[in-house]
Amino acid sequence: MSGKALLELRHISKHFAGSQALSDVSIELNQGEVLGLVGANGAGKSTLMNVLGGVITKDAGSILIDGHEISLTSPSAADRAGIAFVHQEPALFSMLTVAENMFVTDYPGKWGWIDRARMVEACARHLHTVDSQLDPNTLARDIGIGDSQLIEIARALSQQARIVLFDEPTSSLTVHEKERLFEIIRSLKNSGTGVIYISHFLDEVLDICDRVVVLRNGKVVAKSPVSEMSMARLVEEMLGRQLESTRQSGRRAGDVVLQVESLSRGNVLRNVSFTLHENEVVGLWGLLGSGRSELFRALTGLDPIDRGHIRMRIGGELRPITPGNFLSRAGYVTENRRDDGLFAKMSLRPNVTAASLWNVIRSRLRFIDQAGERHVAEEVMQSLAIKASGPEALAETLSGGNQQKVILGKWLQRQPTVILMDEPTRGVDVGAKAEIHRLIGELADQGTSILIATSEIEELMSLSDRVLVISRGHIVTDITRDRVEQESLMRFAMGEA
Amino acid sequence: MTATKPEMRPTGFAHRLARWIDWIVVALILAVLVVVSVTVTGFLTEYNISNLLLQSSYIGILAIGEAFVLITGGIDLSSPAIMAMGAVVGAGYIVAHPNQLVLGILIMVVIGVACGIVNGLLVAYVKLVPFIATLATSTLLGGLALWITHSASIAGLPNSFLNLAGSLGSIPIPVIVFAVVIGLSYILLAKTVLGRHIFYIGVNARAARVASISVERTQVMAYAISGLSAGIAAVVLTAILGTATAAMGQGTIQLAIISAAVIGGVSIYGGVGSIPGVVLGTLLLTLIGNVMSLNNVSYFTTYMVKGAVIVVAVSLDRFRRLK
Ligand SMILES: Nc1ncnc2c1ncn2[C@@H]1O[C@H](COP(=O)(O)OP(=O)(O)OP(=O)(O)O)[C@@H](O)[C@H]1O
Ligand SMILES: [Mg+2]
Repeated sequence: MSGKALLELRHISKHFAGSQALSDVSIELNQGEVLGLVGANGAGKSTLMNVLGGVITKDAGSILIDGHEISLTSPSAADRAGIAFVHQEPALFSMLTVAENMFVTDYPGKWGWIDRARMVEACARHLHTVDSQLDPNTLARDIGIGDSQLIEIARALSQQARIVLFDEPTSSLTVHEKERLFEIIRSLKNSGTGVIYISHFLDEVLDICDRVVVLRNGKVVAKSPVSEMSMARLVEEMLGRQLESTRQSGRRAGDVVLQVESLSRGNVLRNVSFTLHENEVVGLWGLLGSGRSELFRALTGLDPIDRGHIRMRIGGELRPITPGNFLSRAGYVTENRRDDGLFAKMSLRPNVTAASLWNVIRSRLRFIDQAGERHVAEEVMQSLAIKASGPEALAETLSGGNQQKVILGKWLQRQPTVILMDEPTRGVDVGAKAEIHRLIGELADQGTSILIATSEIEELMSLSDRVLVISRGHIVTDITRDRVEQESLMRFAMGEA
Repeated sequence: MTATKPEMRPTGFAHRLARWIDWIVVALILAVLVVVSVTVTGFLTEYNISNLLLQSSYIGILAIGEAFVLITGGIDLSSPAIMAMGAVVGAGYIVAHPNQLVLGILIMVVIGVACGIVNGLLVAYVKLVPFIATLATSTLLGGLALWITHSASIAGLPNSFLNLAGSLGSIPIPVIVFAVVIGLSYILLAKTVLGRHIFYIGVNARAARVASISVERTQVMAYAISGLSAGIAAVVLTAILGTATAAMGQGTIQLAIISAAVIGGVSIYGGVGSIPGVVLGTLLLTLIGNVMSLNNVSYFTTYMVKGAVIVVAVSLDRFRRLK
């Protein structure tokens, strides 16, 4: 058996200051096999992939390819060993173009000259494999996180590697791109490539993987073919407990708290009008590039608008408000936690209080009550089950899902009247996701109005009281949940309605 | 997107060393102190020690102001020029009106704050790159100070003012001023909302904006604080020197204050730093300068050593980021 495996990890361990991320992990991957790797936030999945991708060094254990031990001391060593890596957080140089980013480690050309035409052409070809229409000459800072994820995937595929590692590749993709990715994975499998696939969407894992390995607290707790695995058992192995279902009870929407009229911005947003009420969760549904995130950015003044009116309930009355002032009265969970969500180089404590510092001010001199602040941080850690060594842990050392929880905690602390959420559960594990859904429901019950963009149909259906469908920058439908059907959502979103 | 490519996370020797870097700076100061006091004749004299402290005081006050700006992710290249400007105008006023001492001192401080605010406005609202904005104000103020003074030094300050460089008990007054500045700025940076906002915008300005923290207002405040510190330093240095000249803002002071801050753990990339660190950095730097002058190290060697110290300081900063 061990002679045949394409890739074999033996007794891998990794310790970080404050946590044992991996202990004695052994996994094998065969040719033409798709191996699912699942586990709760902070279980050690990304750490294991980073070891394989040569990004971090392991403390102990060995890695074998075709039965020969290899040493992966750098990303280029992993590259030479035939391992391609799709990172959990796509990282691009903002001032370079899409094409330049894609070939940043290996520009096509001769004697140090870059062959631009060839680079752009090759980039377009690679993007085409993932069905992306992105222009290779766009600057990276102008694209959203979904497109960044596609670029990351296209780049990894272009390496023609024997082993491809996918660390939550679909967390920012919408239905269409996901389907395309699964097709690609199936064809990789048929051509004998070994694939390791990490995701918190367990249905995806059960669908496209052959075998699944479950990590819990850095240890392998289960290994099994998917045919012998059920969703319920997978969840139980991951969390060490069962999951209670959280169906939201009916709410009665109150007064109008936000009224948006004819918001427009170039071709991106065209005459967007809608209202939000007290005690209401409204789902915003649309494909990648439909204008979901752009709507949020325009409302909050992060992108300029051409025209439009926004009115918000302030002191019991609807009053006009400019995008520039929007955020002083609302909350906004951005789609990209790394660029405009997290204070990576600060600890968890100032991260959760950043949007509500006034709650922890002690005196008129605006002193921060540090003990009170630590207390708030501890509470947030507990209520969102954040896995970290304590309130003083640096935010950047948390796992992706736990960083997302920190950002949510920041806005929950503020208790705004309106809160915009762009993929609030991106990268969050099933247990924590249920908990976050419960908290969002509670928030709405207490009167908050929530507008939530999500690409997950289950999330949309279980959370929203009402659904807005956006397509090509235009709101095409506004319907209550009980009238929503999945197929019609898809049709609306594709602009066929 | 403000990203870098997935960076190597060093977990070996460099990483371990990075964790200890701040203690290494402290140990270095102590080591230099011990070695120097034993080997260098004339170091442990009362005259030299008070000289050392006097020098630390105005460098330290300037470095503290600089730290506020550096932590926001900016840089202030104009504080020595602001100091000189405040000094010549204030000193000129005092010489002309010897009995309006307090007003003269106030002029120095207010000029400092005003110039700082101008820097802040240029950076926050005109959106100039901090490096360019403050280099420009620095050049402008330098020229202005020369023009006002016709390149001459302003002498004839009354004893009431010169006494500010004297001692209270056995402690030099500039050192007391330095101590007060240290205390207040520590509280401001580490304990208040403004201090926190300065860190937030330095760590991630976009995230701060989304959290409805006014990036612009915070930037203006940081440059104003730097200007204030330059104003205070103007009072202190004028008293120490007994005269005010446009040349006060020239030479290596600018580099000294930035290296003091960086040696003390303030990141030139923003988001990181502490007042106690800046104080330690200042002490280490002035100590090196003091020892060299006691040993009659030549003028150009001193320059070379100071240059080397800056290279080391900035590399240390790079290193710290590995933590
Ligand atoms: N650089 C680091 N310093 C300290 N601790 C770290 C560091 N990187 C990861 N950790 C810790 O190691 C553990 C595993 O993290 P990892 O990122 O592998 O989790 P994960 O399974 O990928 O989670 P997620 O589903 O949230 O992405 C976490 O507890 C995390 O806090
Ligand atoms: Mg991860």
